[in-house]
Amino acid sequence: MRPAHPGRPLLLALALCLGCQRASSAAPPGAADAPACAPLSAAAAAEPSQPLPPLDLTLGAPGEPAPADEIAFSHKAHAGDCRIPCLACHVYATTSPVAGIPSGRKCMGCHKFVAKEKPGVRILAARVKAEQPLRWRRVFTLPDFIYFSHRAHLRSKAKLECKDCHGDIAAEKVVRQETPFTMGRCLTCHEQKKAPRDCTTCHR
Amino acid sequence: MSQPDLTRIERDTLATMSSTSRLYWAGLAVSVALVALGGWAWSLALRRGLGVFGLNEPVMWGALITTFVFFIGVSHSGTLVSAILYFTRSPLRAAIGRSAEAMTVITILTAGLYPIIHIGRSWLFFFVLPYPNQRQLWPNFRSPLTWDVFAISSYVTVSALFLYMGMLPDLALLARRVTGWRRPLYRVLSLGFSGTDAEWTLFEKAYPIFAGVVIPLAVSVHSVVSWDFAMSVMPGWHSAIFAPYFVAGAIFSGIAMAILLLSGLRRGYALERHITPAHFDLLAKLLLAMSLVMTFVYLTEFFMAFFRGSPAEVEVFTWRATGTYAWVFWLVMFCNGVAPLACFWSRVRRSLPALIVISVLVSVGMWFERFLFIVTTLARAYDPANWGNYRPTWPELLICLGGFGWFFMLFLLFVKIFPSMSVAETMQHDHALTLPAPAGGETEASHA
Amino acid sequence: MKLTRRNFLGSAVGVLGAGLVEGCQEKLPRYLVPYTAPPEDVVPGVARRYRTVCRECPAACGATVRVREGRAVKMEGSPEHPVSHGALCPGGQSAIERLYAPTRLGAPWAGGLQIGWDRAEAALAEGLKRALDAKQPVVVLTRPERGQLGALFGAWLTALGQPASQVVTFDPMARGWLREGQRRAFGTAGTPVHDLAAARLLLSIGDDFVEEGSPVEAARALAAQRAAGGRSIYVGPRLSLTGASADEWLSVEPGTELTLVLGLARQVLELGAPAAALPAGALQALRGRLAPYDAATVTSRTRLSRGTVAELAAALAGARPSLVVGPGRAVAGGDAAALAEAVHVLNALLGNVGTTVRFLADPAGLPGMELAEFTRRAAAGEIGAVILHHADPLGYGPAYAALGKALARVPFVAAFTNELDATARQAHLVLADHHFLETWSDVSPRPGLRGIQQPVMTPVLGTRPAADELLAAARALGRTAGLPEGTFGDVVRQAFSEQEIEHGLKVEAAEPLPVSLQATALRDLPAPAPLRGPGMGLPLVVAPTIRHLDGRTPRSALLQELPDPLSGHSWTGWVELHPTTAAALGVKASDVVALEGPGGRVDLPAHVTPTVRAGVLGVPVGDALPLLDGHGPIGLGVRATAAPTGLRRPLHLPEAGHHQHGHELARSVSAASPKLPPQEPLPSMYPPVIHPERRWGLAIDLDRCTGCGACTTACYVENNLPIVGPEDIQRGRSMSWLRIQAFVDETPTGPQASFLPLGCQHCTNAPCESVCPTYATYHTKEGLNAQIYARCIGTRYCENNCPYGVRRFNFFEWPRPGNERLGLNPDVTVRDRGVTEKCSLCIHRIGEGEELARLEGRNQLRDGEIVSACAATCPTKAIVFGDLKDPGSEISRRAADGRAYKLLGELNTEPGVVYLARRREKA
Repeated sequence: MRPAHPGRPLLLALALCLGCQRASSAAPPGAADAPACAPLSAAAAAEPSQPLPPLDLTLGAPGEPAPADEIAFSHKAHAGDCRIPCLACHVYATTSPVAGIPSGRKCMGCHKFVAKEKPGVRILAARVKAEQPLRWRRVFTLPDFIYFSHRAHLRSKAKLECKDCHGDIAAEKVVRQETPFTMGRCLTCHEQKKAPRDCTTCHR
Repeated sequence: MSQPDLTRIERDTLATMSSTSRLYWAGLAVSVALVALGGWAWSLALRRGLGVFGLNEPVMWGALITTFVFFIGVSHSGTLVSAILYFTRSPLRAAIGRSAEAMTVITILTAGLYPIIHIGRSWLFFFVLPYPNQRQLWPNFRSPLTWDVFAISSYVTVSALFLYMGMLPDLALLARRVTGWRRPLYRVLSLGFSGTDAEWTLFEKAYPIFAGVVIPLAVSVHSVVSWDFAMSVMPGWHSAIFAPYFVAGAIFSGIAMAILLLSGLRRGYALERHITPAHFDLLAKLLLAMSLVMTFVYLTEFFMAFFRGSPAEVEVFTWRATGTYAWVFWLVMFCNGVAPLACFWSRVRRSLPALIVISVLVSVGMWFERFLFIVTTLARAYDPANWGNYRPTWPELLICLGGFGWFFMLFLLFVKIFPSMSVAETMQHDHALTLPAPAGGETEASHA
Repeated sequence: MKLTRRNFLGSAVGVLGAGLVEGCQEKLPRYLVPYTAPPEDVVPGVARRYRTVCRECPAACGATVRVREGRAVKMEGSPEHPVSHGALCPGGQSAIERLYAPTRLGAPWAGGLQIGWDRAEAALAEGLKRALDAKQPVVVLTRPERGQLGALFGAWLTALGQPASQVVTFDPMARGWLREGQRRAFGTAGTPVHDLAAARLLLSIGDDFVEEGSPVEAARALAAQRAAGGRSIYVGPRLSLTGASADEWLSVEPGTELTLVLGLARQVLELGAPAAALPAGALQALRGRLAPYDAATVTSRTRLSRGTVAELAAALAGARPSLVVGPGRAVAGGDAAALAEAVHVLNALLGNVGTTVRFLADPAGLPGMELAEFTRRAAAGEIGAVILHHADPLGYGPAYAALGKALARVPFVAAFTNELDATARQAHLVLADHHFLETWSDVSPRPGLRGIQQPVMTPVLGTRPAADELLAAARALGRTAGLPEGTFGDVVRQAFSEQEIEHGLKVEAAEPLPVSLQATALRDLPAPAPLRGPGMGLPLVVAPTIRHLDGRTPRSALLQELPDPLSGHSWTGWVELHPTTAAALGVKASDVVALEGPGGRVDLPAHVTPTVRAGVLGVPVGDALPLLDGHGPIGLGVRATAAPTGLRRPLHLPEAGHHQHGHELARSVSAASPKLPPQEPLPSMYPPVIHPERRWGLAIDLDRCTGCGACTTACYVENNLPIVGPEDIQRGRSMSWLRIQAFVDETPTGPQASFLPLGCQHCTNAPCESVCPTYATYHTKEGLNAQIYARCIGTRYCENNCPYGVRRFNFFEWPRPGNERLGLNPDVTVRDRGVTEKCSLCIHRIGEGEELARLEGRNQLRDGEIVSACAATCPTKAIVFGDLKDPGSEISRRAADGRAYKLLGELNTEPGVVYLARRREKA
């Protein structure tokens, strides 16, 4: 085991922890889900040459609507038109209960060269340059008392694919949750696929 | 010729509806106030959590469940008594049948609140109802609590129908008598009953069916409630005697409550002519009989405990009589076992004040009896290192009081809107009773 | 307010409304925040484990910390570490709770105000500068730092132009008398190492080694010793955990232990001990010196029967090898050193030296300044500046009042600490240090063994490591001669190889010292020292407890919530009184007793119990502190007067029975024939339950359990159990999933203590399952009694119907102050109020284990691949987790043992938890 790196900021970790603490959660929250898209916000229009104000990463009062994403990210453009496979960005999906969201740097891996002048990408660049985290609105959520494992589903005999639960994201400019994650939906599928239907499979 | 009688009967029996005494308003005000207090106490529990109650590990059920069982108990006398009286063609029925049935329905409505109030997440109480849902979940049909849900809901339905059915003729009558907003109400409720012979024969056919269904149901429901405890593994609960024991206790407490309500009505609405000492005498005898049954049950419980000799069982019962709650135990023994013995004397049976005192004692005794066996068993179960204790907190007590308020409020409203005595039956049987005597007098008068 | 129809309706629905609002609170995070730069060694959702060292007590167990998304969520023992062997004590388990505790300091303080680090560093440098300019000495007052940090202190002082010896080690619980006795007996300094496990007969002279010293190591050794059929006897006026685990408790008159030991020595000599080890002259001398301690004297002083003593002597002489340990604080009277000397001599006579007692050469260290000398010089105003390093003398009551006064005379006091303790409050400058899980260091629990402490996460708060602050100050003063360039962390890292750091441990050679009994041994024995105290009070036994060790403050909330193993009290202190003593004083249980000692007065509720000798006051060390004065080591040979105050302070659940009332819960068998009558299966009306693949369960060996409570504490941390606080504990609302029940049963041979770790029994015919109306609890295919929180509506029927009373109800939404939320285990649902919960047998661990196995394409699990939190941390392996259907598993072996039994078997619940009865000589 390698020693930890004290100096390194673990912002996702922080957010996740805050998240799951607030969520009083069994489920690894957040990262399981694809980032949401929203119409271009005022911040996006702002000239990225001047530094952007850091985002508020606190959770805010329960129930308040989350502010729109400042980057109009389109899954259609990436997964659809450019045919980037889901796992290229959501790298942890097969190794962890959590799928994970690409870091700003990972985005820049391509956007150093691609579509540099697009307003969204300029904001991205500015954030990454300033070592500020990005912030996405979450679309897909599970109740806090559910344990869900991406790796278990993706590597199961049932040969599941992302779209089986998340819908055809590649076709969606703005991701919506077409069908809600209800217990009934999970159970029906588990029944068809001969997967365990024991309560404790998900409730822990 | 007996026309004057009939009108007077009518006037008397409908007195509760026509005239409104100051006493009535006072009673209503008090009960509404109690309900408000109880509601506030419940909101406290909802906002902060059940921690505001005195419950703890190991005593997880307390005053609320006690009151639940108590009210279920009270409910039983009503319909059961009235149905039995119906079949025995007892003169008592005309006098007390209606209020007894009303009492039943109302007490069940009250009792039903307590399980909901007492659970940790009241807002999810519907999880115990069997309804198809996307979660593909059903209640657990092995759980006595699920049985309760069915037993009690069917019981409340049937008793309500029984009550309503019996009221049909009166409602029809009222629809003709009253004016104002009540008139359309009664007209609708009376289902167009107009008192033709054909209707009466049908009525006479249908009514016994309900009466017949109610009796076994009454017995079953209280047996089921008793199984909440008897089906457990806890010392002092796990006993075959619980079902009969609960049924007897139910009738016992129910009669006491009936006596109280009737004496109230009688006093409040000058029904002395219709609710006679003879009636109370009968009730008192019933009370006495039940008291003896209860005493027998108590003795049996103790005998069985020591006869079986399981250490836990012996522990619980010895502690009941000698431990923290010994005073409750002896209070119960006095109220339920000793006090009613006074009814052996006919003078006591015929003195209303004496009966009222006894009935109050019995009601108190029965509440504490439920408290006693619920709490002592939980506080003194198998694991000595887990023995505990329980003292109700004031929010709990307020909610219990609120229940009584709720009960009296509904009852008072009932007697205001519906006849508290069956006009039809009273006429039938008062007529039958009184006809011979005054007949002579009247003939003389007619000669004059 | 005018009651309109509208607001009437409003208030009417308000009641239900309040409930509905509760029901549908939006609790999920609204954002997803990715890393700016992904650390290559972190996979979100997957735990990483780091080796480090537990610093909660000087035992310095090796630890493994589980880290999720960069937050430490659980600490367990390091399986490779010779001290911990994969286990931790309650203190170690509470480290995580302390890490996130709201009482932790997040920033430097000065003059009662938070200040920035720049100002703090400036102030530190300035303070030191003044002292140096005034040519006054600078002193470092530190907790024991047996590692490079200790060395750094020396180097730092040298750099400042000070003698390196100006390092004062503050260790109130140090048992100096042992070293002194050793010096007198053998004339050597050196670290004694006891091999408890090897001793056929283990005699403890009031040495409560499973609570003080190194709890994990000692408890493991004791269990091994018992398992190997060894006997153990505990001598002391109060029954400690060690005494409870021993086969026999000899309660002697306090202060007469010395007489007993010398008497034993004499009789052992008469029985012809292996005197070969001794020079003939020394032997002669000894005979002379032991002459006065004949059987008569011993019996008259100790009040032990002549037979008992003779028996004991014979047993000692007969056992090869035996071992005598102590004296511990519980008995150490004024003549502690002499007693220690006597114990060493007895060991020598028994030929134990070199076999069960060995001495290791101490590593060459700088001779530090004695605390007494420091106090004197500080009081004289000679000290210019003091650096306190996790040392809190003022937290130990009047015993250190003098030191407190002295410190007040020091012109500059800076305190490095995690919490604002009593001494830090007096300091001019308070510097918030990292928690030990956030910083580098190393510590050597004993010669030849070095534990490496590495940071497992980024700091929770704005703290800074003490060592680096000292280096910074030195740099600021321009005095860096001989100091490292970089951070102290670099120093530690360079000292060890990557691999050593990975294992968190470095083992070096430690050569044993050859020792021989001095001719002068036992030459000048003191007359039995009378116990000190106002008037003719009662002897006071100051008892270390596994929960609060030395009673340091501020205390961990978790450890205060954890009930004391023997008395069962949480959140409060108490004084133990024997029933006769209590009767004499006219006090009943829970009556508040006023104790007056040489140091002062304290009021404590009475715990009336036969586990303390009549005419003796037993007080946990933390609560006894106000009574003690500075004369000699803490709590030795003190008397205190006790008087009823007429007040009452109800101790937790006074109704709770402390003996078994004939219910055979914690059972015992005779050591001679360890077999219980078999429990034949009873008929059941339910169809038989089938466990197709596995049947998880626990096997709990009562013979190994010392009642330390590590399992309970581990369960709190692992399963996010809330801490309910004193009021609700008082009401009996503890949320503990696994409690340790102590029964003290009166037997002809005196009180007999037994411990029963009790959690959910995971019954096959579970009474709780059949009564739940919503299926919130049910039996899984793998034999777990599962609780589905989302489905629970809180009827509490299950709790009523559980004969073991192990189910818990969430009466409130329990608070989690400070950063405690960060320490929650993300794999375990945090329960809402209004639902029932209980032991899940760490179902999340089972699930993870099975998932990983499935991903590897295995269906079979190796025994020990999945371990519940309680089993993992049990120092004595009293608790074993496993699959009862796997014939090869350890748990199956135990279940087949003759001592195996099921709790309340007559109820036919068929538990998945198997208990193994305790072996007793007289059962």
